[in-house]
Amino acid sequence: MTSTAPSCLAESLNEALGQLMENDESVVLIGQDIGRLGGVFRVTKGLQKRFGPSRVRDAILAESSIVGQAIGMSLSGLTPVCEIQFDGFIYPAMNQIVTQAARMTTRWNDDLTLNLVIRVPVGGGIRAVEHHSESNEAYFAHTPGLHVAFPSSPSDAAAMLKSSCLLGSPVIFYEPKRLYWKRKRQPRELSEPVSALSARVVRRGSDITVVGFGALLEEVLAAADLVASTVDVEVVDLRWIAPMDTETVLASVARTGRLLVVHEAVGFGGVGAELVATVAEHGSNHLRSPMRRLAPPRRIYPPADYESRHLIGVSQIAGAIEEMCT
Amino acid sequence: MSDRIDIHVPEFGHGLTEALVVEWLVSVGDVVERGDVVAVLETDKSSIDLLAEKPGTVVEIVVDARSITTSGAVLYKLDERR
Amino acid sequence: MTDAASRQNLGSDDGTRGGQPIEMEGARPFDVMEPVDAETRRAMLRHMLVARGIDDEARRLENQGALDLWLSCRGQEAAQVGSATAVGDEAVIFPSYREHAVAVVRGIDAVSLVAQWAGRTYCGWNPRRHKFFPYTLVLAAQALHGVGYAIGRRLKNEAETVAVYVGDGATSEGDMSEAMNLAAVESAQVLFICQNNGWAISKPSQEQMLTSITDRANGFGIRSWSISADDPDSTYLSCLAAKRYVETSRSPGLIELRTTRIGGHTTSDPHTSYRDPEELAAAVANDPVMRYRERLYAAGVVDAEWLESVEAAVDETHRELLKVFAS
Repeated sequence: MTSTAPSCLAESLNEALGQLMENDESVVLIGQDIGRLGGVFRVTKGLQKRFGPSRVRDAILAESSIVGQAIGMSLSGLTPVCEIQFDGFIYPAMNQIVTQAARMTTRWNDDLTLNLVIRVPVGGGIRAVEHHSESNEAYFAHTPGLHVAFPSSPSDAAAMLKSSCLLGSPVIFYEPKRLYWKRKRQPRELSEPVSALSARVVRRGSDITVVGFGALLEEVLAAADLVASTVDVEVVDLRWIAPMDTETVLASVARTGRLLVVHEAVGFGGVGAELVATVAEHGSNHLRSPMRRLAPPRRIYPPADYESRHLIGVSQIAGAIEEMCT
Repeated sequence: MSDRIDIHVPEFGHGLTEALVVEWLVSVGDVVERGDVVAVLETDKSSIDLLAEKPGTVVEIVVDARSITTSGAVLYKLDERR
Repeated sequence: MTDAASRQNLGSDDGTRGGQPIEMEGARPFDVMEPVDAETRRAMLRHMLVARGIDDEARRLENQGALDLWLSCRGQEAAQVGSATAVGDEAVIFPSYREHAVAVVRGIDAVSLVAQWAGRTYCGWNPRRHKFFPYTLVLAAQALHGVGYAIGRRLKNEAETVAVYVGDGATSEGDMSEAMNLAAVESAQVLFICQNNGWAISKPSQEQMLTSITDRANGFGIRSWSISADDPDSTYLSCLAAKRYVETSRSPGLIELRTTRIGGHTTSDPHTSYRDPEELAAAVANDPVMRYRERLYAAGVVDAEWLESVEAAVDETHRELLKVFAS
C-alpha cells in the first residue's frame, strides 16, 4: 500500500497549509517566491495553483513590508501566514515584529485578536552561505507579546502550525531547514502533549533529562541511544520557546535529578540559560549534580567548511551525558 | 481663615528634577488665572515658562530668583480666595 | 515627473492615474465654484475650536506635571479637520501621533485623547468604534499597516476607504518608501495624507529631502497633490477630490498638506532655540483657528450665540480634563 502520509517536514507543512487554507477562507499566505516557485524549499508548492494568487501572494522584496502589510491584513480580518525566506533576513522586519506586532494587542488594551504567523526557515548544517544558517530564537523569546514555535518533527510541525493560526497572537514559527527533506528520523514517543503549547517527553528515562528542540533533537535522540547501555536518558522536546513549558522540564528533573540543555544557537544569552536558571530557582532540591548547557560558543556562524566544528554533534552530546552521569 | 495653598515645583520629565528660578513675573499681591505665566525656570534641557496651575492671589514667593530648586519643593503660596 | 515614469504606471480606464502632481492652489477664496455648505463649515469650526481648547488645557496640565508629555497640533487644525471631514466617517484612519483634531472629528473625547500622555494607557479610545486606530510612535510603521488593511479589505470584497496620516519627517523612513511602492504595485485604495508642518523636531523639511514629497510619491507611481492647508474649506475640497480619485480609480493617492507647527515637537522641545523668531511670530499671527472663526463670523455662518455655546462646551472640557488629570 502506498503511504500518502507526508514523510518529511516540507511535505507535512505543505499539507498543513493546504488544509488550513481549505478550511478557513481568511487564511492568506505571503512571502517571497512562495507562489509561482512554491517557495525556495518548496514548502508552498502547488498552493498558488490550488488557491489562486490572491491568497498565495508573491511578496515584493521587502521583509518589513511582508510583516507590516500582514499586520494590516490581520487588522482587516484575515489570517495572514507570512514567510521570511531565511532566518538571516528577518532583521529588516524586526521593527514591524517587535515594535508593532508584538505590542499591538497591548496598545489596544487587549481588545484585539491579532492572527499573524511568521514562518522562518532556521538553522544550519546544510553548507549554506552567509546569513542562511542562523539560530535567532533568543531575540524573539525575549520579546513579550510574541509566541515562538520551534518544532522538531513533521507531524508535530503540522499540529503546531495549525494551533499557531488559532492563537490570536503573533507567532514566530521556526522551521528547521535541515529537516525539510530529511525522511529518516530518530524514533521517539509521540504521545499527545499535555496542551497545545506544552513541551513533550519524547523518550522516557531515569538518569538524566536532556532538553532539546528543532533539528538538534535528532542528535539528542541519537546520543541517548548511543549511551543507552550505561545511561538511561529522558529526552524532552521543548516545542515552544516562548512561552516556555518549564513545568514539564521540572517534573522530569524531579524524576531524574539531572539536566542537560542542548541548542544550536550560541549559548551565551541563549534560551537554554532561561531554562537552567528557572530550574535552579524552582527545582534545585531535585538536582544530584550541576546542570549544564551544551551550545556553540559566542562566535559568528562560520563558513560551510567549518560549520561541523561549530555545530553541536552526537558525540559531544553523548560525551556530556556520560560526564554528568558518572 | 485664609485658603492659603502651597504650589509645588512640578516634575519636568525625562529624569530632570532640578531647575534654576531665572526670574519671577509676578509678585506678592498679584492676582493670577490658571495658565498665566508666573515665572521662568531653567532646567539642563531648556527654559520653561511656568504657568499658574490655580487661580488666586500670590501671597508668598518661597524660592527666590537665581536659586536652584527641586521637583516637589514648595515654590510659592497662593490664596485661593480672590 | 517624466513621461517615462508616468508610462510605467498601471493605467486606469480613463488614463488619469499617475502622472504630474497637481498643484491645487490653497489660497483661493472660499466662495469659488463649489462653496462648502454652511453646516459643514460650522462643524469644521467647532471641531477646530474644541481641538484648540483641548490643546490649551493639555499644555497647562503638562506644565504643572499632570501630563508627562504633550504633543501639540496647534497650527495644524485646519489641515487635520479639513482632511478628516473630507475623508468621512466611514473611512478607517491610521494616524501617526499628532492627529488630535482628527480624533475630535472622529468623536473621541478629550479625556480619552489625553490619557496616554498621562501614562495611563497606550491608547485611550476604542479604535474600532471610532475607526481611528491607536497612535503609532514608530514613524511610518502605520503606513504599511494601512496598505495591508486595504489589501485585506479588497480580498474580502469589502469596500472601505483607508486614510494613512504621516508627517514630513516620516517620509524619510524606509517603511514609507516600502508602503508607497507596495500601494502602487497592489493598487491599494489608500489615501496617504502627509502633513508637512515644516519640521521634524529641529530638522526643517527642506533638509529632509532633495526633491519633494509629491515627486517621491509620483516616482513610485502614486498620484499626488500638494496644497497649502491652513484654510479648512479649500483643504476639505482638495481632500474630497483626492479621496474620490482613490475610490474611483481604485488606486492610491497622496496629498501633501502644507501647514504650520506653532508649538515645538513636544512640550519638552525648546523649539525657540532653533526657529527663526519672525517665522514663529508669523505662524502665531496666521493662526488658522482664529482666522476661520473670524471669517465664518464675518460671513454670518456663525453668530455670537453659537460661538458662546462652543466656548461653554470647551470650558466643560477643561473642567473634565482638570478633574481627571489634576485633582
